Amino acid sequence: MDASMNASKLGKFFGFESAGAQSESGKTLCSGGCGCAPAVDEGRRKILAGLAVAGAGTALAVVAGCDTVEPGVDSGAVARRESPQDEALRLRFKEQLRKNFRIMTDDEKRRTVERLERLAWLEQGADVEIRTTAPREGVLFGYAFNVSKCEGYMECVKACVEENNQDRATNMQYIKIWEMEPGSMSLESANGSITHEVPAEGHFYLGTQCFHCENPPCTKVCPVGATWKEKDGIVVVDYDWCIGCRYCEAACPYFGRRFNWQEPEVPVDQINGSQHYLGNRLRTKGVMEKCTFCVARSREGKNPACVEACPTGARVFGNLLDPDSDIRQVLATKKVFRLKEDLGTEPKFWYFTD
Amino acid sequence: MSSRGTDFVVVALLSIAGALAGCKPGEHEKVLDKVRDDTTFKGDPIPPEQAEHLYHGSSEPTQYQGAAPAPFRVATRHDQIKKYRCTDCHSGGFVPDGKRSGPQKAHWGLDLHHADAKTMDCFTCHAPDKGMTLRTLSGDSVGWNKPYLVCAQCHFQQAQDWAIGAHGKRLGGWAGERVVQNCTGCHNPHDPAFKSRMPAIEPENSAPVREGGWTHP
Repeated sequence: MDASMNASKLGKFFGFESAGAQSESGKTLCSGGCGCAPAVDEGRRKILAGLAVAGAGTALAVVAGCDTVEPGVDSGAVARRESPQDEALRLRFKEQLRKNFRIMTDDEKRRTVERLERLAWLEQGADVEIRTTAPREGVLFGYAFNVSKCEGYMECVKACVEENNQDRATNMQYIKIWEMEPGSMSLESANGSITHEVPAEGHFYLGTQCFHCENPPCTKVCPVGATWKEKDGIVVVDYDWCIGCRYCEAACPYFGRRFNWQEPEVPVDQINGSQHYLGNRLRTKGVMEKCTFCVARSREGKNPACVEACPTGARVFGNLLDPDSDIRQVLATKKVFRLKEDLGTEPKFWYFTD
Repeated sequence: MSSRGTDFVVVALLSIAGALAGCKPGEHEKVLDKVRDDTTFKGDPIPPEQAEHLYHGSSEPTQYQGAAPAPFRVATRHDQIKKYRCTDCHSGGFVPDGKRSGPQKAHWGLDLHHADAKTMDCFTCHAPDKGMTLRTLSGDSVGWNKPYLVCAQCHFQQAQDWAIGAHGKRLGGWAGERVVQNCTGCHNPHDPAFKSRMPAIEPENSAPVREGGWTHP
């Protein structure tokens, strides 16, 4: 959390509404010119001007620690007065010059995260925390889906959209629930667009998403190295390195990837602020995205949002390297299958029946 | 085994071996212990008072005994009971045979849709005479936190799956202590089947559509 976030909260405490980046008034609240974004409504400013300058201004400068903005990080705003638009532009420009996530040092990761958190505030008014938690040794994630238990309620899809800040305007979804025809195992004849009450008589339901293949075709075709498989088996995308060529989407045999054809829209009050750099942070137009097994959650020991939301317990998640884990117990005791096994992609996503 | 099958096994073994690269024999377990014991890595911890201990290999007469690879905890139920003790209302005793007769005077939200009336009645699961607990078919008293002992008498296959994690839900996260949902945490014991309803969200329309149907994912 950087200084400006505290400043914004203090601003709210003193009665100012933060108008975000779209505000007409480019002036900053903090007279120190630290780049504190919240601008004051024109009417209120007159009333509160005295307080803001005499009281809040001083308090903010002290409490929010404007002077303590670390030199060398993004302290340009300290030296000169800068509008939020200019600051956003400057940070975006700096972001263009950074390295690929995989070769960044910890310090570089920290700086880019600070910039992105600040940009989320300046451009969308969102208070976010972006983590860069690394994979753990001894962990390889795997997933199992019980086709006998899924009833097609799609609570998983809803939870996924909310957790991963997917574009609400185009109704982007990583998970697809297929209503299977009676007696058929083919997805060719399955209904992927359920608009009636579920479960329907005689049908069963099968969910697809990114399978996090151990041998992923999508990462091999990326011309810029913007997508790769992490050590814990999660296939991720560096959204700021992606050039939007969609080769990976074409290479995926499972339709696991999604493309942002337009600027993603997520209402500010619905933005999930608990984010991971390689996961649910806010995306932009023209980049690929996909399921990351909720990297922001799974690397903290939690279950992905879909697993947690499933009301029928059809979804099992865990560590493939731990013989006692739920996922290994399922693989050892149940009849399991994977989709398109003959392609040799080795998905780490199994289907099983009771 | 066909050559393709052999290839598959080799690939699978190699992929696991690859993930463990750098580990000497014996180190594997140490890494696992580290992952299992890491207290910073446990998802959302469940308070002990909300989950009762169930020890694997205990002397409780259950069908799934020994199925689970390690001890686990089960979410409690006693603290969620709203009407207790039964004798606060049932001061004049219970219907002798546990079967309903005449108009329903209480428990209006309770409609029994579990097996049929010839198979089950109130006293198949409830034991009002034994301290107002649950009961097994042979009449042993079962605490409110252990309805799985009652359910497992008939649903033994589900109970076995539940014990290993192939049925039901795990609470908290995938790491750390294993705490699972009780049978009655998901299923209404008086009406256990899941009901049909509309999906929680409208399906996406960005998926590629092929003439005559959806493309194969």
